[in-house]
Amino acid sequence: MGALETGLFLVDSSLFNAAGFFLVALGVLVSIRFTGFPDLTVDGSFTVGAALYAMSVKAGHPTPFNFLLALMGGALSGSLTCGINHWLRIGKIISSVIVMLTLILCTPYVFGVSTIGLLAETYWLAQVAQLDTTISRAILPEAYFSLHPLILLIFGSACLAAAAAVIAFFRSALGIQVRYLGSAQIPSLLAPEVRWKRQLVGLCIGNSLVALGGAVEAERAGGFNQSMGLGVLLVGLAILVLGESLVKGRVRRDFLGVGESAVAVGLGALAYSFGIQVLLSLNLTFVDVRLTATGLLVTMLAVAARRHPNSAHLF
Amino acid sequence: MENMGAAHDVTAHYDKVIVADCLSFAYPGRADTPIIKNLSFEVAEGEIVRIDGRNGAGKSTLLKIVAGDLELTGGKCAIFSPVAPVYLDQNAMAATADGLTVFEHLHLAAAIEGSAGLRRKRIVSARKLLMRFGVDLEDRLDSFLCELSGGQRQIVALLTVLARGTAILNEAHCEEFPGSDLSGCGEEGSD
Repeated sequence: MGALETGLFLVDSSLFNAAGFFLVALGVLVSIRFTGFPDLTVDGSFTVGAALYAMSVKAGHPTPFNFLLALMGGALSGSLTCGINHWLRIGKIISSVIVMLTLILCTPYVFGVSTIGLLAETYWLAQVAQLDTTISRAILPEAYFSLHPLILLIFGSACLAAAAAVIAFFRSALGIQVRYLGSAQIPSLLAPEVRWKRQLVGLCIGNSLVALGGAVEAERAGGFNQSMGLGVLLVGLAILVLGESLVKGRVRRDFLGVGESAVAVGLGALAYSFGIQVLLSLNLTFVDVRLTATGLLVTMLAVAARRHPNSAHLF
Repeated sequence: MENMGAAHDVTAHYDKVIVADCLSFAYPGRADTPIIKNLSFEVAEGEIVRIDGRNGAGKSTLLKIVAGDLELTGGKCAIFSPVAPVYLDQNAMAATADGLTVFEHLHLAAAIEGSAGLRRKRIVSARKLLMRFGVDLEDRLDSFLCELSGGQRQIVALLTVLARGTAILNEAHCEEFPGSDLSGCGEEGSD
């Protein structure tokens, strides 16, 4: 394989992976950083998003509806965590762990299967993927891999739209109130009866984005399996801390605005995804995305604890 | 706190704005040791009330009850318009958010006009508000709170609270805001 082909492969596969990573990390940014909730539901909402998307594709629903269903599943997961925390007065971490485990364990029972394959299905994105293969063959006839120009365009646009929506919302009065919860030591400027409602908004948005990331990952991986969400929170956190460190080093400030945070997540997702692809291209058979995320997270937190202490402070 | 040792100084008319009737309060799980028992008092519009008591007597708790931050375990506390009490903690710095800018703090409480309008219009409004108070913050709208001095942070917290209603200040603030009518009430153990 020539240098050009290797380069194209690395860029294509990095961007293809980065779309799902970006959405997950954006969700983690909203739930954990903006809302200030130690939200371990993430692994469960990722699984639910992927399962709902795959099931909906198999049922023959239109593509926008499939993604919408995943979004709604995520919002429901976030509301469950918030509801258990508020109404049953169970601690934040325990509430999110309960919901996360329930979602992961119950998904196979609800859908009747623990894996759903999409490779044999005929749907709009599968047709786009076929078109991608044709374009790829025309550009690189000898290559053993296929490029994904159209899929990347679609996913890239979806990520940009999601980021723009997050930026616009969290700059609004309601969004600022949610961010205040995650940033003030004692959020006494918000009335107590308002706090949990803002928390609910934050958790719904955060988990919706994570579930959307699950749907994108199900599309990329060609299906859903029960364990695909395990450890996703670590990936999201690693991307977030990595991205924040990159941007904070540039702006020389300890706190980032909403736009800067979204850029940080984007940079983090690209850097993380590219790093994983480079490791994979070295034929290191032990590379596992989540294991790498764990190692990277520990390293980044240790570095961030020295240079940007509030980046290392996650919960 | 069973009997409020308040020094009343009625300076205006007697329209009641706060009426407390047999207030009782105990923290959850500590019902046998209530902080406040059967406390009744009235506050008229324009009236200045000082609450004295030893440390831990329940002065801050009472203010939080009046502001609606704590739920009563007994009795009633009625608040009449135009008073809309908001409690500002002794540690106002903790109530501000490091990760929000001055502009966002003002926006947080809808302190500025046109909250739903264009950003440019809101910035002009925020600048006017800060200039009116003469706190030298009008050119620092985009500064994060962590970049301000302790005094400036307290001012931002106070402006945010004032925008939401009538501020209830704890003793530390009386010293921080010497220009206010409340200067001089900052004896130790007073709220």
